[in-house]
Amino acid sequence: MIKAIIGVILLIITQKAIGEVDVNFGFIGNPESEEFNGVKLGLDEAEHQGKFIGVNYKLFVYQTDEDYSQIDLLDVIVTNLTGTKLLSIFEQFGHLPVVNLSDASNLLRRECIFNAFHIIPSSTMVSNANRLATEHGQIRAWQYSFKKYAARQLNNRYFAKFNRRMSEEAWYGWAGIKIISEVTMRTRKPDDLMQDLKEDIKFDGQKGRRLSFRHNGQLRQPMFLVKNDKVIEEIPVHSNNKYGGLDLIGEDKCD
Amino acid sequence: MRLIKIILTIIIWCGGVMHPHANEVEYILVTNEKSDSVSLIDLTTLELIKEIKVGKRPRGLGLAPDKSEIYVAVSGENKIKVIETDNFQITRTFYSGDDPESFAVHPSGLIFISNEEIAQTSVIDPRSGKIIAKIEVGIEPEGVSISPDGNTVVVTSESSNMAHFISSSNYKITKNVIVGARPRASCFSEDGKFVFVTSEISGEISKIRVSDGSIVNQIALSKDMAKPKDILLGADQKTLFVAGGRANEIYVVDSITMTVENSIQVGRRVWGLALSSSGKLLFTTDGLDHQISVIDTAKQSVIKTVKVGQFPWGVITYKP
Repeated sequence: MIKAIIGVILLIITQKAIGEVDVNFGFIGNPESEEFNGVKLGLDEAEHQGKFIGVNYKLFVYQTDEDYSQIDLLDVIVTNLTGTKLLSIFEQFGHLPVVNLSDASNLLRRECIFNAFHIIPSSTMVSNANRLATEHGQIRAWQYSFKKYAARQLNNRYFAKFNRRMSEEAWYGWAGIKIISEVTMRTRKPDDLMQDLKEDIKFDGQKGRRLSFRHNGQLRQPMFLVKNDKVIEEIPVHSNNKYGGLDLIGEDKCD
Repeated sequence: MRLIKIILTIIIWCGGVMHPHANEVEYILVTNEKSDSVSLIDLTTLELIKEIKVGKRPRGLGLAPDKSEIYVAVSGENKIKVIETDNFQITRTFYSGDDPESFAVHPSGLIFISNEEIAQTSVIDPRSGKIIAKIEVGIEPEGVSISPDGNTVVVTSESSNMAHFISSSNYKITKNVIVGARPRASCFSEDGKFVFVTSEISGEISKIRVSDGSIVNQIALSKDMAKPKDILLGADQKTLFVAGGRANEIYVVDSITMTVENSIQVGRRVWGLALSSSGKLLFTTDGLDHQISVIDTAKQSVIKTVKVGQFPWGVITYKP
């Protein structure tokens, strides 16, 4: 009896110690975009995962030139703005990680902005992947018909939710949210997100490889060579080299 | 009377000669994802006996506790096909829920199965073919294992990166343990105190204490291409065998110290694992080579490969 009471007390203490964790995303940009559809799917999946372990997610949506209400609550910004608008977001929210979904500029990577996390591959990654391709085709970061590494399931979930094929842009939005939720569910410390994203993250984006951020903020990831709507090559080829060979595309220089 | 005795002796002797291993009959069954079949192999001779057509994209396999039936998850048809072990014919079929993949058969006979597309584990009574419970789990549920006492079912969810511990008495989740990226399969220690989980993308194996769900040890395989999938405990109840996926290797791991002791080269994209009843042989499905490798567990080396159908996935052994 005493053992049982102690057990219950311990359980209550343990549960209280673990507690619930709230993670608040801010999306800045166009809510009619493909990227935002991806964000919504990513949020659904994060919420599904979070309910098993007491992590709650909220999304605040801001269109450009809007007052940033409840901005103090945010733990991370996800945006599909580009160019100077994006640069001003990095600056304005210097204390938060800012996830770039849409700007592929090499110059932006070379600035090595401390709080920048680029999901969309840089132009250099695309051109390097083209150079490594052994056939003619289109280099893409995602393909709706891809099936390996449970990509089929992700494409099916996207189609079921939006009745359309998952585009590259939608993948960027989805991956941006999922990377954050993967990190926060493990650490339960949204305040440390900026540093934790730069560490070893455990996420493959349904691409079958361990993805991680370079020093310049670019997400290491394989690219797909697509021909006749099918993925015919994954570039770079997976190897036992550092990062599985992913540094063969793109660069990690700072100006 | 004496004549009858002589005749009986001759019959028994002849039987022994004609079937020298009559009491050692054992089979290997392999699902072939792309040829929609199950390969039946004589475990004693390691020869292919026949291919059984089962339907579109067969994956998980399981044996009924009374060994009368073998269940096959036919993913492309959302069905479980039942193979009778007397004659290796499909005798009946029942609905499995969407996209069945891996499953485990509980000592009671109930089937716990992952429905990958709908984040659900279904409990099916194979006698009636009815789904008797649906348990919401993480996204893309995959491997299912059951504790030796039958009390706990562990389901891994690939995209939510968790091992869900489920009570087999009330079908409620009791614990959710966060593990490495893309957990695939699990197995229990013989005493039921620990469960071992493979994580494909992070290349990790987690050792979880069942009583409190704490991870007591977690190792990462050194090669980036090592993508652990299936896992099982050897007959010594100490040695773990882990299928390394596209690393094309089996990893031999000490389950006490969690150190990798050896690696055994097999065919490409090694996926499923099964042991012979003696524990002396380990069978691996080498998906891209359309074969199984046969490993001598004492020597820890491949002694033979056997060609099967296209893209072999799951494997079990069955001894009548």
